[in-house]
Amino acid sequence: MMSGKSKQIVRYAMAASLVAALTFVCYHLRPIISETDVIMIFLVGTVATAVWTGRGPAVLYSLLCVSAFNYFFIEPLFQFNVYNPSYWLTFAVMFLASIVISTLTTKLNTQVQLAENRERETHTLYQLLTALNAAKTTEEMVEALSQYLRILAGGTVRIVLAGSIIEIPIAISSTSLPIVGSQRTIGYVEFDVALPASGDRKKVLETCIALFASMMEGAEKARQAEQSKIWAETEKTRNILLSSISHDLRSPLAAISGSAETLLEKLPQDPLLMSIQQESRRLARIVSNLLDITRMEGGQIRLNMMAYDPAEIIGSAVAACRESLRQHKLSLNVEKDLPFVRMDGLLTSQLMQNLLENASRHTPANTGIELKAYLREGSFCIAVSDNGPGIPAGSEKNIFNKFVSLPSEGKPKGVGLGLAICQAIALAHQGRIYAQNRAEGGCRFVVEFPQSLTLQQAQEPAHG
Amino acid sequence: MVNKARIVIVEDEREISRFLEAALEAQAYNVETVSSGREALKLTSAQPPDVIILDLGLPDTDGKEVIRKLREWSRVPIIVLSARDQEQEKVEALELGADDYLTKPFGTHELLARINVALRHATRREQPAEMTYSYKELAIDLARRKTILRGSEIHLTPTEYDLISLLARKSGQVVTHGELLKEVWGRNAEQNDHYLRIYIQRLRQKISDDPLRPEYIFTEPGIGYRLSESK
Repeated sequence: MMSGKSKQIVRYAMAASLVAALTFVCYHLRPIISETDVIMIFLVGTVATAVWTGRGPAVLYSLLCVSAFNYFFIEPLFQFNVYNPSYWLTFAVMFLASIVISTLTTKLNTQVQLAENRERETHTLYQLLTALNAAKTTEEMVEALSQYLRILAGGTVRIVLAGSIIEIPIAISSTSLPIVGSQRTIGYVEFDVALPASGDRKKVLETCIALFASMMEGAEKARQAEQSKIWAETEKTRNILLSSISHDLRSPLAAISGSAETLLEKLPQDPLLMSIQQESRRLARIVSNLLDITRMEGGQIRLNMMAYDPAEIIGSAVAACRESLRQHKLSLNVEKDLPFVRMDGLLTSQLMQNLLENASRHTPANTGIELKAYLREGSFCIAVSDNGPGIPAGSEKNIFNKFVSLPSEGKPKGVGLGLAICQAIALAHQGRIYAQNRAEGGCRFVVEFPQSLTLQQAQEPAHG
Repeated sequence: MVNKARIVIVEDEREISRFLEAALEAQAYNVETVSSGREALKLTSAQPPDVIILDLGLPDTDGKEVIRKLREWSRVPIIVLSARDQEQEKVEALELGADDYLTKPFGTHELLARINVALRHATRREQPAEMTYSYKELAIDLARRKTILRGSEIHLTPTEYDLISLLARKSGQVVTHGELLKEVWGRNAEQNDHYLRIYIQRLRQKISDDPLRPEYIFTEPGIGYRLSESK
């Protein structure tokens, strides 16, 4: 293979030889052709030189052909001086025409070359795109890319992809290119030949790799979308099932507990009746919770937002749990003069009831439970603290998941919906809920409503 | 126990109506059960009962429609039964003229208490002479517009008095936000629930009722307020 420099020398030599050849032919045809014809023939040669050899050799050609014309065709022959000075003008025009022609031709030539290159690149990219599209797995996509890079770069390539989690250290050397996605670098390509530092060829390689990266990301996104669609479908089916079962269970359970209660009027303290009543109530509560959570998760929850004095909602929640808190000491610690807060009163009351009942279920009798309500940086917060065993380390987050229930001593295990409902209610208000163990023992559940729900201190209504 | 009041249960679910019948008959009430809105209207127009217990989820007509039709000609107390996920329905039923509501599942004690309140209100309506409210240390003289706490009169603004007298007239029964706003502030005030909270807060302060542990004014979140029943 020839280096660029020697190629260039050959081109100059070609230009020079063309001048020699044309001079030779014209010299021998002199009796038939005039000086003007010689000029025309030399100018045609200019076009040929410009097309085949490029700008530099074409300039050399122009110089040489003017010299040859002077030397071989103008009196005195075989000398560079002329008798008739008007020929100097002829030379100048001839040189200028030659330069202009060669300039225009090389420009055109370059344009054609560029267009052809672009078309080839586009074609290659299109083929790569088709191949990547047809690929069903990551392996097939990698194979398609390496095939085209091989064609484009010459030599073999090695494609290294980062795992989904591990960040690979990428050494950018002269023989490798990174595969950069929109979020992060997903791998690199290593070539066994040195890459051009810049220029069109490198750009094509980079474009191929960028195309591959975006296709990889697209495929990944599609996979995730598919997965979440399947998940959502499953969840929906499960919710429909839960909801219809719960509906069917609700009436018989209400009838069982109601009947037991009525019978207890006649047979007070009958242990079997009492157990029927308690257990059917427990079941009824589970069923209501199931219905609530499916309703909330099904997006059917429409908040009935109104301004409330937080104290009155706390009051209603505490009154509703009086029965389940009978064996605990509840202390209420509500900040004085809390501003009104916009919320769904019924759901917020239910949230507090669930937290209080949860605390009473997981802590021994006669221990204290504290409900605190306060403002923090303008956000209304509720905290329920207990003095029980606390939350096992690592469970602080997943206790809010559906059907996660921690065992509590001596009491039937819950179904694990109470806290999930709390979370759904907090989230529906754009608030948040979290659990933490307290340094002094027990745990604390904190609910924070967004600051935007806290109303400015009420202004005076217009009339008394 | 002799208790001649006649109660009509409108409930399509047989399990529920059967235990309601048993519970009410145990209290010597006279009970009849129908399972549709149409039958309910027919039965009540033939012979008006003392109380109607109406399930909002009926198969043939909307329970609210039954209330609307009944209220065209009858003031018979109506207690509505509803599921927990029908908050809005409850409010609408109350504003159409239902007297009270119970959320399923409910205990029989709760049901009997509501029936008693409803019956007492119905009798009171027939004897308008009874114009005082009194519970624990709070007394309201509805004829002379006076509010007395622990024996001494407390000063209420006209709006505050309007509020508490409305609650007192329906003591023991829930009064919806909408009703309170409309009665006290007029037809166009229904969006101003904020005002209502402010006045309730002040009323509570004046009658020294702690919203955390209320004795007189009870909050029913999402529905309205209930004043303890006059004794």
